[in-house]
Amino acid sequence: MDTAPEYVHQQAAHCESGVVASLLRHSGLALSEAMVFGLSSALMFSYLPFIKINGMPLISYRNTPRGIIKGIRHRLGVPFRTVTYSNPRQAHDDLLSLIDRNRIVGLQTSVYWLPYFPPEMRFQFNAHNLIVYGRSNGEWLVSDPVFDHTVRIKSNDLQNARFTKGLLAPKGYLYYPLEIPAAIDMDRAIRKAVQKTVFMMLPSPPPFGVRGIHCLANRIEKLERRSDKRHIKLVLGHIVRMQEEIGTGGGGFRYLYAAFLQEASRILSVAELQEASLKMTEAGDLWRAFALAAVSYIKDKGTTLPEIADKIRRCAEAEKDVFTFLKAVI
Amino acid sequence: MLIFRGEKKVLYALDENGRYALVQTSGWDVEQAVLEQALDDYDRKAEAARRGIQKGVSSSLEYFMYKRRMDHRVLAQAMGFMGWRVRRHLQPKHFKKLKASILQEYARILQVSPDVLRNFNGD
Repeated sequence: MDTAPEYVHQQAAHCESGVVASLLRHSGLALSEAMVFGLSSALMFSYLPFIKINGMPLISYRNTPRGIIKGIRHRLGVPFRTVTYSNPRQAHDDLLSLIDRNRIVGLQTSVYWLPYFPPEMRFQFNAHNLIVYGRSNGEWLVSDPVFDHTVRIKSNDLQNARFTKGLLAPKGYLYYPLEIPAAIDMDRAIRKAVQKTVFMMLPSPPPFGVRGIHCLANRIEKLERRSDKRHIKLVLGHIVRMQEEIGTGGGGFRYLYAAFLQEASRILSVAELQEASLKMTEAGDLWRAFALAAVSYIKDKGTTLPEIADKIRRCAEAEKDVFTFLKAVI
Repeated sequence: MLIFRGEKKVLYALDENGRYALVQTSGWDVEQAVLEQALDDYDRKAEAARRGIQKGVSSSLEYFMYKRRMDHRVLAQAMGFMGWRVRRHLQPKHFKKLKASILQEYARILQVSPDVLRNFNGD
């Protein structure tokens, strides 16, 4: 039996916020991706050099994976069913029965096992989110928010993608909203969400938040002591990849958050939030200026490490500025 | 842009009226540069492993590990092993003695056939 319910695919800047926005929209709650991102207080900065990804320090511009689902559940009071599995067979059967009951579901997967990604993109990254919305001819119909069209995937490939082991292993993680509450106090939700982000970014101890950004700057300056220039370049390249590649919407999610602040300004009729949005955009621009400087270093075009560290400190200053301002107006 | 193979992604950008909107892009050259850098590094390591196989100092596991853009830590996590165990298997003498079931699992994760993984000689 084939099933493909009425589902409209929408492309998004980030996978988890895109999936959650699409799941909510399908259930009757139309929120933009930026709104979902902002309401779940997903913006963050962490720099954890003692956790290694492919030998490189963990650096993140958002909260932990699954944080957007949890954030929306908590902030809007939308009940989500979330399941992980120890038995892949059962995960498959569950998915089958949900799809045959015309549910659409979000899944956590590993990019490495998704054949529709360009081969150059297929790294072991285990926290990619997608939606399965139907099945046809023994294949799953997939709405992957980073693509502008829907795709298909074979059952075996999806099983591999859901049950890969390692850092952030998905364990078959499956989720969908159960119902949309009759009334949602958006005004209050937005204010609470912004307050939480301010709290995560300003008083957080290093290596989190604004202080974490300074840690990163210091670390880059200290790289100069290393004799292996290839290693220095790889570290810089790694940071820029975490910041700019698929899934951040550019500038390490800062533009996505600026879009949220602008929408929030309209909903709450608070003009200062529009001003905050502009400041956030500037922070995004500064992160991009850092990315340019890093690439200039990688290509031996005369940029020095202290100059790059300085660019990052300017990001930290700009963000301190935005969040101090937000704290006062919200 | 090369890296997206004709696919386009979207991101939020300001339009001429100062309003954020989703726009399609095929990426900017900074992304291209850092992705190429990362890929080149794996290619370099894979090439070194290929020569190592011919000299008898690397196992074909090392070649395919880098070919699939992993290091021994990531491969160990994907296998559910401790890192040292994978590092041992990178040595030809230990690799030759691998149990068929473990070789099979390596082959599945590295997306090659077990025969190719066992017999690849660097050519």
